[in-house]
Amino acid sequence: MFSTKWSYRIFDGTNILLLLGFSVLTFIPFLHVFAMSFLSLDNAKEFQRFLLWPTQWDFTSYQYIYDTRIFFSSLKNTVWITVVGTLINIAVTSSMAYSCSRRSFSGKRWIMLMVLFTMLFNGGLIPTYLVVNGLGLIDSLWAIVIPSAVSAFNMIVLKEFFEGIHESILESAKIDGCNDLGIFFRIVLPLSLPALATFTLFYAVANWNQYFASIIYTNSSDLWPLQVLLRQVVMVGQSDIFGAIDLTAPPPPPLSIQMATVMYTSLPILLLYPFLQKYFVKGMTLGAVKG
Amino acid sequence: MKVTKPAFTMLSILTTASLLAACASSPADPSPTPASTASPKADDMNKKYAVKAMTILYGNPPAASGYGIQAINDRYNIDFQFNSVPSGDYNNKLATAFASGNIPDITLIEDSTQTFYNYAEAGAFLPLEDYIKDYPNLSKIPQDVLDLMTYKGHLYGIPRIRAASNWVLSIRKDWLDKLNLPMPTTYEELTNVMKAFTENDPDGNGQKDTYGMAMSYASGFISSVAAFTPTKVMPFQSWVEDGKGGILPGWAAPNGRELVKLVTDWYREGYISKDFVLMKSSQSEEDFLLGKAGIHGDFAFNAYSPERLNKARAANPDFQWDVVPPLTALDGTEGSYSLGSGFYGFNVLSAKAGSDEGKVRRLLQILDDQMNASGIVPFGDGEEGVHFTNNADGTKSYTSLGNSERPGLYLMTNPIPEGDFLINPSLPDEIKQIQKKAIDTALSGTPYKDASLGVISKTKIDKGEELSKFLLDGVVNIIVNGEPIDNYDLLIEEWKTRGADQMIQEMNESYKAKNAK
Repeated sequence: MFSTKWSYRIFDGTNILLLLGFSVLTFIPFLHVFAMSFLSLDNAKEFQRFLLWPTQWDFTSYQYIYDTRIFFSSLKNTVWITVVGTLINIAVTSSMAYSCSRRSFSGKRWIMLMVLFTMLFNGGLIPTYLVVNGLGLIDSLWAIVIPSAVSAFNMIVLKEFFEGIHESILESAKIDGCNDLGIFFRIVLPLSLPALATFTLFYAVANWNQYFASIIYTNSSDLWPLQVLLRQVVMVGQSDIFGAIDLTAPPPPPLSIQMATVMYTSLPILLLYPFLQKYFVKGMTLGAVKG
Repeated sequence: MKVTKPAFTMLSILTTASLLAACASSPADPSPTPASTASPKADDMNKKYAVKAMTILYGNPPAASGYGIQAINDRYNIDFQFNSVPSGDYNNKLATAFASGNIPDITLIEDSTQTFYNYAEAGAFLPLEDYIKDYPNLSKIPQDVLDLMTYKGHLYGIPRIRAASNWVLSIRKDWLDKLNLPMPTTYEELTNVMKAFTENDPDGNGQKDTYGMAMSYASGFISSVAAFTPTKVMPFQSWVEDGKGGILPGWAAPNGRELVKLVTDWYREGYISKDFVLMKSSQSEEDFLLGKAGIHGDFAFNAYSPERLNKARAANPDFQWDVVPPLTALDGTEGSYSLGSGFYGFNVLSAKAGSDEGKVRRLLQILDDQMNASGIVPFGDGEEGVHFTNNADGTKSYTSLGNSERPGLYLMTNPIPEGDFLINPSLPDEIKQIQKKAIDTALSGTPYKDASLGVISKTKIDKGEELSKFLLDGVVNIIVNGEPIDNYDLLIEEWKTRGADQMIQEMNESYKAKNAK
């Protein structure tokens, strides 16, 4: 990997330095958020400094968020949306992308045009709401998962990827007696693990961050996902002018509540990345096609 | 690729059919018709109605069922469904509810904006002017507040009344005493006090780490507002009378020029923070509470809370706050603070509910009952021991069960703030005292309301926010860059050419017409 020619060495070195620099630059604010989330009222002075590592390990802010009545139910809702939603997303997107990638599919052009159309134009909030209402999905978690089952952009990219799988591999499977469904599940999907892993990640993050759809389509606070709850907590922490909560103990400082919120929001989905790392492998099909 | 003819025709039929399916019949009724017949005053309490209500939620949501809902169901003989929507997205939720034709029976509307007028025009709401007089508490609502939610002669909303007293200027009393300074009464004295706070080490710790007044801009308006309202410069898009029969907005008011000059001096001398442009109002409040700044002007009376005091005392045990009487205006006239509009949000009844006379009476009965302080406050607390406990010092604490299901969390409106309902009797004495002082100070002299209440102008709706932002950005630029005050005149000229001239003209016409009758 490291060449011996000195010009290449310099290039490699600068490359590594710049990349390291940028990663550190991106990582420092996150570290700061992590540090600030552990501050409590006693350390008011610390708020003025730019901390990189917690000076104390005070879990009051985390506890404050954890203590809200619906913390567990909203965590459950978010996990449900992420897991079920991503499964539906990947299943629908990959099957649609695969069918649109087959040359023998006659309606392909029209379907792709329609998909492209939805990427450029959107009905807007009210028509979408009317559709979801008409389907009877209002006030249920399915309203968050089903209408957004396919992201047009993801589908198009996945279709391109499937088109890149050489026809001869599939033909050889057909010769061996595999039907179309078998080809899809046994050949195409395993070969596309990098792409699938990528899109799983995209969809999972989007589902985890789901906020707006749940406010619009659900009426009960029992169906709130974590993001909505966290936003409410941040707002309550920031102002008690409306006397929303009468507390015997003063709430933690608004800033550390916000930081704890950020940690709650980002850590779980961040932990997803290492598990998907191993799928980002290239070159699985190298050498499979000769000539 | 060859598309066979039958396939093509099929496809076109399908697509056309799906396009037509979107044209469902319009859900809303076009004409508002109040229940015209002379209706019996008695409401048959034996009939159970299903009542759906929607309001804005600022805190943690109450339980969807449980003691509170049950208690309300029993009290009013209804089947109550309570939707609380997180505050940031309320307008979107309202829009979708309206579009689907399903506005809840009682819905909260934040303000009478163009959207409200559009909905009223489309007949989404029930006119209420014939009903108000039948209910004791609803009739107590002042007429000028009701006028703000009247459209084309019909009253559509029941406002949630708020105390009219608004922001007052707060000051560190212990710092004043330490530096032997009297309470400031004019802007000149205020500047001297700010100078002393910045330079003479009022917290006695030997370091120059304090400054005069906590200001902020990042929340969208220049604060501390109570430092500016005595000289008739109001925040947001509020308007004041210009002394010549017309009205002007915000920092374009007659005294605006002098004030900008003064604040520019403050910035240059360091009496206000050099970072104020980046600070949000929560941060400037923290500066005041935690002992960096000595003056702060964003508290209304109920902001003087035990939580804030405890927070301040935790950082500085000597913390003492006090209320500054309104400073004399920059043109020498007597200064007074500004008043609030007198309400925050109003409840509308859906036109659908209007089809059943008994239901309308029941809904109004509910709203009226919730405005009766002696009845609703104890009811709202729930059961003693379960939802709240009475402390030895007379204060009340809510249990965690109380915070999730006591009936008070499901109320749609509140009693008129007066007497016991104005200042919470369970507050500590020290807090009660300062709140009373804040109210009295806010109402002293000749306090004035936003002159643009109930005054409509198309340009204000279209461009008001953008014009206001332009003006504020320009003012802040002058302050921060230390520009000569003549740039203010140039700023106003530019602001006018961008559309403010049109807006001022329309507003003044509307204002004069409103006051002519």
